[in-house]
Parts: sequence; C-alpha cells; structure tokens
Amino acid sequence: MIFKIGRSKSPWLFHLNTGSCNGCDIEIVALLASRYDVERLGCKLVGSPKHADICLVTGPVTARSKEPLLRIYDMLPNPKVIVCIGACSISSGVFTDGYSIVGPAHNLIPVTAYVGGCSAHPKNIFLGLQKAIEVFKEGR
Amino acid sequence: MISYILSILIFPGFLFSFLLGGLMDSFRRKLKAKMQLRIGPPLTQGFYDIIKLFSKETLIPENMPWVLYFITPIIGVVSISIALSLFPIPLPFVKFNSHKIPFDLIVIFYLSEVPTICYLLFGYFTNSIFGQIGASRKAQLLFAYNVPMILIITALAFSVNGSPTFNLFDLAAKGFNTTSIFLKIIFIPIFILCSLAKLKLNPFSIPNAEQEILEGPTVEASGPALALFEISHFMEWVILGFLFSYLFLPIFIIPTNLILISIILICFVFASLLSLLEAATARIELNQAINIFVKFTWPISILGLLLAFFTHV
Repeated sequence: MIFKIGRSKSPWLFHLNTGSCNGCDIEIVALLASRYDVERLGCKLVGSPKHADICLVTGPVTARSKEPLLRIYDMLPNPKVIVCIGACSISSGVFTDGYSIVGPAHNLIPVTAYVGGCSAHPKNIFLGLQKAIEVFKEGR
Repeated sequence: MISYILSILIFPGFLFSFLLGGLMDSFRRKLKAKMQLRIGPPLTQGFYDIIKLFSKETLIPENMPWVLYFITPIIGVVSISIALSLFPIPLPFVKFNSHKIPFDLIVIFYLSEVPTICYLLFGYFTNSIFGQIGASRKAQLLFAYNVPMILIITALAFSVNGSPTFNLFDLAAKGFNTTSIFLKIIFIPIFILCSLAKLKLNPFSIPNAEQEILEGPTVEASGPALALFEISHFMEWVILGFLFSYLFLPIFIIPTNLILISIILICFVFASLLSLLEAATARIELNQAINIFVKFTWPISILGLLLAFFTHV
C-alpha cells in the first residue's frame, strides 16, 4: 500500500528520442516549465534510465535507434511504464513505410499510453502521464 | 552505551536528520519552483521518492560485485549518522552533556566527507564511463572545496577567547569577540560556496550533470542503493545546516528550551539561501569552478587564518 502511494507520487521521467523531428521533445520541455509544471505531481526528468519509472518515447523507431530502445527498455527497473508521444510514435506518422523505419514503438516494446498530435500538446502529454500514474496507483 | 546507540539511530542521528533533511531538500525544490513561477512538488516529496526507490527493482551492473553495490551507500549513511550524533544539541527536560569529545569538530568534518568518498568510489566501481567521469569531477571538486573548509574551521578555532579549541560547543559558546565576528562575516560566503559544491547544487552541479554525463557516479544505481544515496544527501543537508548554525551564529545565547527549534529554523533559512543561489545560477565548467575556489576562496581563507593566528598570539 505504502509503496503504491510512493510510486504514484514520485514518477521519474526518462525521455527517449527514437528519431523524432524534435517537435515533441520541445513540448516535453514545455511540460516541465512553468505553465504546465509536472513537478507538482512529483515528476522529475532524470538522466539515467536506471532511475526512471516512466519512459517518454518520441519519434518513429528508426533502424539505428531500435537497439538503444530495446536496451533502454531492459535498463528501466520494474515497475515501469512506457508512454508514446506524438503521431510518429503511435503509427510512424508521415514516415510510415520509410526505408529506415522499423517502428512504431509498440511493435518492439509494450506500451501503456499513447498521446496523439503532431506535435503533441503539453496538455495531452499531461493526460498521458496521468494515465501512466494510474497504473502505479492500481499497482498493475 | 544505549544513549550512544540512540543518538546515532534516532536523535540527532539517522531518523531525525533523515526527516529534517528530507524536508529541507523538498523545501529547496519548492522554493526553486516558486522562484521560477511554478507550483513545485509538495513538502513531503523527498519521502515519497525514498519510499518509491525502496520498492523498485535492483539492477546490478554485470562487472560489479553486488557486495560493493550495497556496501558503499550503507557506509556513507552510517558514517554520516555517527557524525550527526556528535552534535551537542541541548534538549528541553534532558540533561545536556556538552563535552562528548574535545575535538569533535574535526571528527564531524571528516565523517561528513565519507558519503562523498563513497559516492565517488561507487562511480569508479560501476565501470561505466559516465560514472567514472562524474567521479573524477567530484574528486577534483572535493579537493578544491575542502581546503577552504578546513582553513575556515581552523581560523575559527584560533579566534575564540582563550586557548584554541576544536570542540563545537566551546566554539559556538565562546567564539564571539571582535576578530571572530569579523572573520565569521568574511567566511559566510565561502562556507555557502563550499556547501553548494558539497551538495552538488547548481553552479557546482558538475559531477551529477543530468544531460552531459547521465547523473554521474550514480548512473548505474537503482532502487535501494539510489535511495541510500538520496538519504545520505538529505543528511548532508542537515550536517551543513547544523555546522552553519554552530560556526556562524550565536545559538547558545538563546534559552536552552528554544535552541533546537532555532537550529531547525536556521537550517531552513540556510536551505532557502542555497536554493536562491541555485535558481539564480547555471552550471559552470569544472575548470571555472576550480578557478573560483583557488583564486578567491583559498586566499581569503588563508588570510583569515593568518589574522586569527596573529591576533590570538
């Protein structure tokens, strides 16, 4: 019970770009800045995947970023949640059937929440994060 | 014997300093958020983080022995608990034993450096390139900020009335003559700079840079090991807050019943001062940080020591 509270009140974020155009990455930074401020939910952007609870994946998965994505997924300690951000990470977006695309991410790793948009609005990313936090609350 | 164990485990050792340090660190985050026009995390955020980290999976790197993985953070927490237990804090309704060790300031100072050394060794043991870079940065900073800290403590020890003393109670109770007040005013900015470097806060957050070297020495730490590093970080906050109040402020003028409360208040003022500096500055390079220490803090603290020595003799 106490662990569930701890997990849901301090989800640390790790941001992973798998070939994104940088649009969604900017929106993630906007999410951490003063207007949307996810630190009030206890979120913190950490540098090492071994510290993280939620991994924010942006971009269609390119052939070069497939191996890092799988390795980073293994490095995330359990319990972990993956949130895909942006149209590219949902369906590869405009890059679908591109010669260097092996994604989207859910072909390679289990994904819990998807956030649409090109680029995704910080409000929607916020909702996606709340979905991820619900997973920790329910102890799934 | 039992009172020693209690002082290490409960007050003012592990439990008390964990609670106070957690509040101080969360207060620092909250205040920094307010300065950046954000809402910020709740004041209990530090404790949620620790609870969560204890419930996470532990991932030990392949080429690191598991004994080292757990023993380095544990040694840090134990040594800093012992350091905190040596502080002479008078409590209401309890008999106050003021002279535990005649040279307790030196013991406290060196024991409070042990978590830093454990942090550094953990970085080397992980065999991760980021950990090793972070550890080497921390080692260089450690040298740069420890020299002025030692000089400050020695100068203050020489500036008391009567014979020089390294006893914290004597230093806090007797050290208020003209020379020592002058020295304290000069030394406060140096102490705050050294505290920022010791706590790895913003202008000197060089060893734990998130974006450049993936949080430095703790890059491979996960779960309970990371929680223990966080706990020793909380306790470092408390030890620096205590040292600030004992070395620089006349806390033994206050009635005995109110000393503990005033020390806690001073700790929060100290935390807000550091968070103001943290929010106002950005990370600098290692050579710039070392230049600041070597070119400004070393000469001033050496001059202060000479002044204290000659006025005393």
